[in-house]
Amino acid sequence: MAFCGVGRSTSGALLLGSLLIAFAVQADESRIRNRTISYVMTDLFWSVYQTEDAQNECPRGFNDGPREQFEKLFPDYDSLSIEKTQLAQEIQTWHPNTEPDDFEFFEVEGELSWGLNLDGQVSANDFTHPDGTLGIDNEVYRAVGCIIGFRGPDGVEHIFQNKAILDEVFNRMMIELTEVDSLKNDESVVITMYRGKDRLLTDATGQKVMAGGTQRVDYRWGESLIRRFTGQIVDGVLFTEPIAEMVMPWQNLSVPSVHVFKDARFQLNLSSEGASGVLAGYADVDTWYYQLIRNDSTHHLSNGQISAISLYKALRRLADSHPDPETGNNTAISTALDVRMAQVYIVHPDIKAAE
Amino acid sequence: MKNPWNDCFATAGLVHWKRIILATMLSAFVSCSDSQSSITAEQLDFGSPMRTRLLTADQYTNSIAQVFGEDIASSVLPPIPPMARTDGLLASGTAFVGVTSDQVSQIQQAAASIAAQVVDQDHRDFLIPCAPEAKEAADSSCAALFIKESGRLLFRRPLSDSRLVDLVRIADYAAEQTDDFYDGLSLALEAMLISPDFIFIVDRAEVAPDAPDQRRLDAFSLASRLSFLLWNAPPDEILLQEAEAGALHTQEGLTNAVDRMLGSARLEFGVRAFFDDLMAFDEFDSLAKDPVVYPMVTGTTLEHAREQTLRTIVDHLVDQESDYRDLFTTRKTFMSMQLAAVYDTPAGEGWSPFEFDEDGPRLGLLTHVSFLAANSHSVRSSPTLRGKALRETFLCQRVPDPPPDVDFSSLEDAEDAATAKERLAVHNTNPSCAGCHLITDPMGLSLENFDGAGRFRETENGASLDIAGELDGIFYDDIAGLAKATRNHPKLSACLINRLYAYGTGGPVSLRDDRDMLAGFEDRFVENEYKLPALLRDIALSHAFSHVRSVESEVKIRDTLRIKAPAERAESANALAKMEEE
Repeated sequence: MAFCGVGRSTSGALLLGSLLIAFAVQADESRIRNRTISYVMTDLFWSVYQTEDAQNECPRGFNDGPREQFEKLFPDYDSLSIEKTQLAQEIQTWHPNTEPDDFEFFEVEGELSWGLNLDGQVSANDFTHPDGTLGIDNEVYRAVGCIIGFRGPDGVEHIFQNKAILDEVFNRMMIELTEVDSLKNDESVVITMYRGKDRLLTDATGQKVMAGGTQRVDYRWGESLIRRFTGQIVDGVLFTEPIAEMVMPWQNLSVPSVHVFKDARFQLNLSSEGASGVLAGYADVDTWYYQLIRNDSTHHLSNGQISAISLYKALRRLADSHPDPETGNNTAISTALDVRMAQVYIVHPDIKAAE
Repeated sequence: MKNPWNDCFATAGLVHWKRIILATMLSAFVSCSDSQSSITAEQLDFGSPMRTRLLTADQYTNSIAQVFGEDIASSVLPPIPPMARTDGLLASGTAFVGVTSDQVSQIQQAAASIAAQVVDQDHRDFLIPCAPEAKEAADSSCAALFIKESGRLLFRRPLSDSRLVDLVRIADYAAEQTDDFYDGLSLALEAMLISPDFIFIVDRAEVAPDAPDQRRLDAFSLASRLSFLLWNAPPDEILLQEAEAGALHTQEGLTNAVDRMLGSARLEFGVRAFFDDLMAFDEFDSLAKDPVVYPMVTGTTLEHAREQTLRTIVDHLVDQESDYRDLFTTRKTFMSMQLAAVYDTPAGEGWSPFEFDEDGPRLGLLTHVSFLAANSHSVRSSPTLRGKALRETFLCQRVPDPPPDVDFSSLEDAEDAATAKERLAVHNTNPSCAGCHLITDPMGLSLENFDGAGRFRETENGASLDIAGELDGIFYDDIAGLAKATRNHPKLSACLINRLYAYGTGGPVSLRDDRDMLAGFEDRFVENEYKLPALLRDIALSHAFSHVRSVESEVKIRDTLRIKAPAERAESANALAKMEEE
């Protein structure tokens, strides 16, 4: 099993603080029961490396969204039919193509990015991790890093996915670590991904997710999402082997959807209270795109200055893995997501536990 | 009323000091309540005081639900004023509560709301047993039929003929004024719902035919006493019929009635109500924990903590018919997903049976989150409150309130202390504090492995916890030791009997008058292996439960039926207290 690169270590003082706390309590392994400890996902959003004024990664500014493009495409839209303006744009959104449009697309131009070295190689097209690690593969970041809607803390993509994880049981994903001897160092642990079917345990505000909750495994609607893989824990960090294909539920704004990640892997700082780190792999481009336009209405795309039409072309152009056997075109694009989890007790139905 | 137990406690506290108090307290208590080993013939002459007591909020709701349905009952807040906890029970305060004019107004508003719903178009067809000949006019016969039936259920006894005539007259008059039969009926029902005969449970006595020197409760008063004790609800139709037929005044009839009620699923509601009162769980209605200190404790968590303990009690005592004392050592309980987080354990869906780890620190009621969280401060645990609750709730001992001029400075100066034990150590050096704290803190400190929310902790502020302690001469090293010492405490059973008898008869026991009888119950409780249903049966079938103590009591208490001015109420309360002392 090869572990390449390193995960995102910090993102500002808040994350640093939480990690310090995580490390501080790492020695507490009281929640390992029967060599098992589990975590439920509480935060998941695209890893976007940001500098304060964005000059490093987006020196030419941010991309236009649907409203800005519409103004430029149809300055005299009052004299044109809806069919030739709004509906034409909607058709292109739902039936995108790779033909260039008339808008210059601003890709990330900086050299730094969060993520992992997925292919074990260091090439000219790779980023460098802020900690100096070379060979970081994160072409989704190259595509979305200069789109306001994907940048934190106010971008619509940044806000709504976390809110959806808290609000929507559809997105309830968990990992169960078994054969665990220590959260500090363990040469081999087994990880199983499950979907849960309960609300997250929160404090009295209803917003802060607490450790110590219980989740029942959803074997009915979640069985197809179960994945089992191995990993090891080194100095409190879990490194997992690549998972051939992982399906991640991604309901947002009450619209059910999924992402498909190939050769996905976790790199997580573990504690008895929670886990935090990165999930990286190759996202299936079509799935990625249709998740975006299904979950986000024109309103949200416009608010986030996300031109789906232009972004699709960029995703296709930057896709860097899993070529189609027939066309040779890459079907997947490297990516990384920030992930945080809270410790949880997973309950299996009696019949499944017996199995 | 002065509690002779308190006198015993105070005397013991004056004679002994510091740890010596604890070591000798046990014998002091034993000497204060010599128990008799068997029920004597003389005890058969015991009677209980006649009382007039206000319905509790739950009893009000249960009464409305039983007569008119759950939907109507749940639509109004019970207009019952707060009770004063008296001798450990709110139920014992119901005979001493006053009703102000504002509260009467609330009772009237609730009555109007209930009456309006009963006669509305959604309910009238199945709650009113007849239809008027014309909706726009009075119908005396239909009104009489409804008033007679519902009045009997609400007043828990048949209406007198004159009362029935009066109420029908009200209905007819109002129907004529409003040109609506149902509006008229509604007004008559409202009159019944604000009547003291509904709001108060009134003991009425009569001369016992077979023993003219004794007075017994009349059959309907006995039926109410039985049903509120065993079901926390008014008599059902069968019990009223048994009362009407005179069956409750025969040994066989009474036995059959009690056994039927004990065998009913409704017994659970009675047992829950008693223990909810005994454990002062009404405090959960206003209990709150600082969300910064205890972020995982929410209103739902606390609600489930209360429910967990009540489920445990009902399962242990009613469903399993297990030894009452084992409630303090059993590891069997129930768990919900919301509560499991505080116990740091997984849980299934809804409520499910759960067993604490055999080697873990949780066993018995004292380690339930309900007991631990309720008897703590909002930001930290409290060995004093926990020790006080143990003594007062389960052992019927009274810990005096702190003196009004208590000096907290030495306690505040101990802010640097890492553990509660270190903080409270200052009490030992101050004789005015030590007297009380030495009888509460040792056992409370043994529960310091649980924080103010009831979560387990190995240490406090990084310091290890010394939880060894002593309960009335029994030394122990850990929580299991405290649980065992409580379970085997000689006053545990006597306290339950004291409270249960007071609960059933509507007021505090008089240890001068009731002592021997209570000792008899205790002997039977031991014979019956400490099973609660058997104890309930003994109490319900006892001579004292169905008989009253004196004619003088009856006359004095009847006065409380009238709603009095505050000054008159105070006078009345004093008179009652004096009467209890006598």
